[in-house]
Amino acid sequence: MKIKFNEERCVGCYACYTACIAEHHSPEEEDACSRRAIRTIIEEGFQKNVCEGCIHCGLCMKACTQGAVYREEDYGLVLVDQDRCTGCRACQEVCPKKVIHFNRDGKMEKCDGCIGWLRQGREPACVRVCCAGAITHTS
Amino acid sequence: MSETKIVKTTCSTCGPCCEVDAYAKDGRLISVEGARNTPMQSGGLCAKGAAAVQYVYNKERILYPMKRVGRKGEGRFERISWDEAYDLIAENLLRIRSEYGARSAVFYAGYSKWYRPALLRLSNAYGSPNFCTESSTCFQAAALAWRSIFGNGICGPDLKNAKTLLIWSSNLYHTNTPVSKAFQGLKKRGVKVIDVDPRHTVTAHDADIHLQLVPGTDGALALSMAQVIIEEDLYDKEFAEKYVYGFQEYREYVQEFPPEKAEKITGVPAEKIRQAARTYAGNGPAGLMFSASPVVHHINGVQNYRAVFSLIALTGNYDVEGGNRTQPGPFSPANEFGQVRRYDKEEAIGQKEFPVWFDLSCDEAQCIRLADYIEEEQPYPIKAVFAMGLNHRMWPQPKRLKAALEKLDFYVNAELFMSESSMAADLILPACTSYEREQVHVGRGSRFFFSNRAIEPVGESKNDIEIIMEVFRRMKLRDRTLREDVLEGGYEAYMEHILKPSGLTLDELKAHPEGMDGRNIFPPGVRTYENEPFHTPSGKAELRSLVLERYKDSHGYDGLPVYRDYRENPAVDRDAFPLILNTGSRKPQLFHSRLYRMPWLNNIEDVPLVEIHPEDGKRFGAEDGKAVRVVSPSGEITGTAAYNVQGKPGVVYIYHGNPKGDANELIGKDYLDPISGFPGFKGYFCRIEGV
Repeated sequence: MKIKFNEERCVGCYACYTACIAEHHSPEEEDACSRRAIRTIIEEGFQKNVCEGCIHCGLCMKACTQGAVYREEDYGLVLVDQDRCTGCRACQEVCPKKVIHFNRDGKMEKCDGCIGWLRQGREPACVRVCCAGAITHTS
Repeated sequence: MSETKIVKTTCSTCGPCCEVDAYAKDGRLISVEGARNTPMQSGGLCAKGAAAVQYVYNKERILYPMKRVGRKGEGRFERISWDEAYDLIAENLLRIRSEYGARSAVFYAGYSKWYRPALLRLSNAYGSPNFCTESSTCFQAAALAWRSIFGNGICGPDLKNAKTLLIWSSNLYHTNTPVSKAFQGLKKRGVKVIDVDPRHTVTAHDADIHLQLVPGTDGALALSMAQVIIEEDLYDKEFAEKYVYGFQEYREYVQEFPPEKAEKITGVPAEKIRQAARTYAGNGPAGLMFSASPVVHHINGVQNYRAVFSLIALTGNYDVEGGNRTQPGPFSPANEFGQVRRYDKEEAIGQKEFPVWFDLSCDEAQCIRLADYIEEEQPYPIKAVFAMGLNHRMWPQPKRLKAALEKLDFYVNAELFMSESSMAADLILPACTSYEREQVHVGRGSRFFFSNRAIEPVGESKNDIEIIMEVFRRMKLRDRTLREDVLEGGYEAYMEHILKPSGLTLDELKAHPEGMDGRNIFPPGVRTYENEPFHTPSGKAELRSLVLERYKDSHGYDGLPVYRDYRENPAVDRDAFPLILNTGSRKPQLFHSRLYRMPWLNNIEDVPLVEIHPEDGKRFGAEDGKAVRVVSPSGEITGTAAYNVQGKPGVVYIYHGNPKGDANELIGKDYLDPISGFPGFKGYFCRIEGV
């Protein structure tokens, strides 16, 4: 599955950014990170903040020396097995969208396509929440 | 483990109350999605709504009634039962009524808004003229400006049929994110969009014409557009002749604003003003989209918006297809909102200073000077405030109001969160969110929706209207406004009462989770003025307001939409305060003071953010990302400088209501629009200094 982000259509509302946190964390986790990243676009006399997300390109998987990043079979999503992650950050270096984080334990964290929701017949949280049609997914 | 259930309910974190599918499991709210069956809603949500679980399960939620045990404002409380709380309220409010008279108690509706008619009933039954709301600084001044011309409530644009849409100061992608798709749909249909906004926002970016004016110069811009429309003979002569009062005087007045002169005042190039005027008047039908606050948060705000709304009358876009219509679609009536009249047999607070607020009544008193009334006991003592969701940060100089609240004889606040305003109270009551209550929603046009309870109330919190009903019962009051005692029959009966005029019953609405159209339907209206005169003194659309002219001598109000420039203020030394200060323009992740307590939203920006143009940053030594002090004639705060090129140099933008540095502390308490009492939140003065 691919999750696409249309920068032109994005209105910078942070809904996807927040929905991503809400899907992966409990309300008590106050310092939880979104798996999407805020980026400022500046043009002549105009600027907006957009929230970019993982496109499941697999570059991090190729960069990982531990075999901790893999493509799962049901949806073709690139996922991380945190038990095998050593926190070397090689994946972060190559990520074209800058959407790889490391949690407090030094383990890699990335978009999982809301696979739990997909299995329940729901859509990824960022796709579902976007009002501007800027985030879409294709299987 | 129980099954996950999907409950049709609503989000009420801000105003529009978007319909939501809530996922609940084991009695707990686990996630939310925007409903897909709702007109005008894209199916998504905004950032605020998406963070619902952190709102509902916030660690600052008030869980049970609490009474003050320490000094006033000290913040020490002890848990009591609901029964004790109700007795305390009844005892104190009845005592104050017999000692000082009913008018010495203010009934205040802050956040949220849904219970307003019920609270107004309570205030009426108690006998106080002082029912007040958060609208003393929001929306009502815009409504007043409109009513002074057309005599009715604000008519929205008929988006379905408009060929041109003039958006006057609304960044709708950020104020009402779920309408994004509907807005994009207009663009696809080829509607020409003109956007008036001091900043190049995402909404402005999507417009065909962006008029980037200096904040607060809206009146001059609108008058100049009128000058072009009249000079180029693009106005609706028949409408002007038959249905407009004061056209000749207005016509003469707008001659003072040719585009070249308006360019100097507003900063908008003359050619763009002409282009916008020609498009709005020439590519009709054209609708005008207003917004609640930005234009009227200026000391000439009402007159500025009167100048804007006058364009609708001038071009004959009033109550025509594609224009601003009294009733663009089928309509089904409902009880409560807009139906309950305020008890007005006694002078209310704000009535002397702002008489037009009362003449063009919105059934609320104007409480912008609440701190003054409490401190000075003029026009009479205010001794009690029964509040729901009061937030002192909605006023200028909030610290001063909080100190005044601490001087009250009795102050109750019903709230979701242990807010700073609640700390000043004698008694705090826990309210619940929309996820924890049932509610009948009266939608636009003919739509009704039953919002279900997704989870049981958190702690001992209760639905606001049930609280109002019990306070009413304990005081043994009678509702004087209606023969039927709406507050006495219980909450189910209250919901049934709301629905009654629609012809629907509560049971059938509950049985239709996707919502229903009312049974009693009025067809859409068009050109209603042909059969029914305008509800103004002249019976016409008043470009020269006879209501304002009543107070020409006593208050100095003009009948025409006269432009006065706030920058020509002899009391302010512009060398010391060279920048314009604009506070409170919407941010998609915040809502007044309410959401700073939600880390998922609050962590997005380092706040308070002081947004400045890089040129100003360099000129005044404020570095991007570094601490900056903002000093106004009324106060100072420290925040973080953020370079932003959306606005032009010369203006500083800060969101308000942050306890760490509240922009509202910078606004003078008497810096008010003399007509509405609204503070000039979006057009004051400041300087910035690197720290």
